[in-house]
Amino acid sequence: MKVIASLGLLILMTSMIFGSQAFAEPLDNIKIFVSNYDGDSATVRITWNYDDKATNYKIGCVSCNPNTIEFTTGNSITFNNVTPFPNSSFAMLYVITYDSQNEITSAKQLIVNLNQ
Amino acid sequence: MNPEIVQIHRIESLREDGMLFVRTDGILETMVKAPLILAGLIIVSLTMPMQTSFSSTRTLDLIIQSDGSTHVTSEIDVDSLASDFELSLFGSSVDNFVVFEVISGSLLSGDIIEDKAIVRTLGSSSIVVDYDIHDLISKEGRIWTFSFDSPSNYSLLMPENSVIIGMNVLPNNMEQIDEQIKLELFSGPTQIDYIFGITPELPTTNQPEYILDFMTAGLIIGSIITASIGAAILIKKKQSKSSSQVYVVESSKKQSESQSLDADTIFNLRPSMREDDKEIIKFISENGGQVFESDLRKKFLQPRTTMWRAVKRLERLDIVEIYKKDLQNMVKLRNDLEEEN
Repeated sequence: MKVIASLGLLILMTSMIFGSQAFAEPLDNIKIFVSNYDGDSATVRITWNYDDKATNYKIGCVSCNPNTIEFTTGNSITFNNVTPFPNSSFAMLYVITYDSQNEITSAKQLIVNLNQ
Repeated sequence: MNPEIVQIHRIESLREDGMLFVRTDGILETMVKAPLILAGLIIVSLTMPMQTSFSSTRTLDLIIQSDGSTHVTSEIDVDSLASDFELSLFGSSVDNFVVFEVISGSLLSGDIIEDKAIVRTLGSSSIVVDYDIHDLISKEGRIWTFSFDSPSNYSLLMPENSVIIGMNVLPNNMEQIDEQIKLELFSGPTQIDYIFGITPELPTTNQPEYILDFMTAGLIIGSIITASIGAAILIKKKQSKSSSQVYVVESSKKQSESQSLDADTIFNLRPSMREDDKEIIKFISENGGQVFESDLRKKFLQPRTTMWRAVKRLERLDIVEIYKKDLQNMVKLRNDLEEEN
């Protein structure tokens, strides 16, 4: 019985140690850099954390007229001519991750103040 | 009675002097009447817009729910002299239709005929209409599309955790309220595509194996194997002591895990159940013991609230359990109904 109890304790400890490790969720750490804003449009660079499940990323600008879409397999993208909504300096963008089966695994809305 | 024809002769002296003679006997009457006619015209021109402003939309607020329905709230000015008011709804599949008067807050009655509602306004000048509609949103794959041709400017509150991926018009204003986006949109056709941000699955103890080095992986696998062997030895020892008891316990456990209650068993256990509830149970049972609440609505063509009440009633009877799956309500038949009774 003692042997089994100590083995159980070992398993419990192992699972606690490895279970408590911090895992970055997909699109958990997104960074946005705005440059060249002239009141009409700006250049926006977006970077995000690596996600081993994601094989493709779709990035779009909803406040741009017409809406624009870009695809990448990397962890960053640079958007030119990002325009804000009328009468504001806020632009609306999004990032979607796709897995190897081309299924959406995560998505995030980005509200960016271009007048930074 | 023969009319006398009098020949008119031009007076040559008039042409010579260049003077114009005007008849003056009716001028006083004309001068009095002219301002009256003018005043009348002004009153008519002023009252015309007032009359047309009756039954006009003052505010229109839409809230998109995560289940694909849209909650509509609209304040409308109506003609207080008319007893009824015909309201055009934004579709025919309407739920939870409520109308009340703005000032007193008292509820008003109304009838819905397809995509129109006849509201008995009872002399109200301003009413608020409140309802859910299922016609404005469609879904293809994971993409939800909101399509609406609005007669007036309106506000639109997007559901929580939604991500807008396309808009055919630009809003007049946008604000973020907690996790939701509120758009102020102009009248006219609007199409908005959105998806729901997926909540990532939390890593379980089995998932991170691929990031562990071989040593720790070996340690875990080794300990699991050792524990399994130890458990097997222990079970064997116990089996030799009381093999008949263990068999009974195991077999009853297996039975409760593998078998889900069939519809007839549930009906026997709950004989007082309503007939329409029995149909729901039968449908769930036929579909592997669990279905989405939305599927039940589609199957039985019931409004959202009616189906929700039915499902909650079954939950109170301990027949089903409700849990969230993909942001929807999953209704599952309980396995332990027999044991609880």
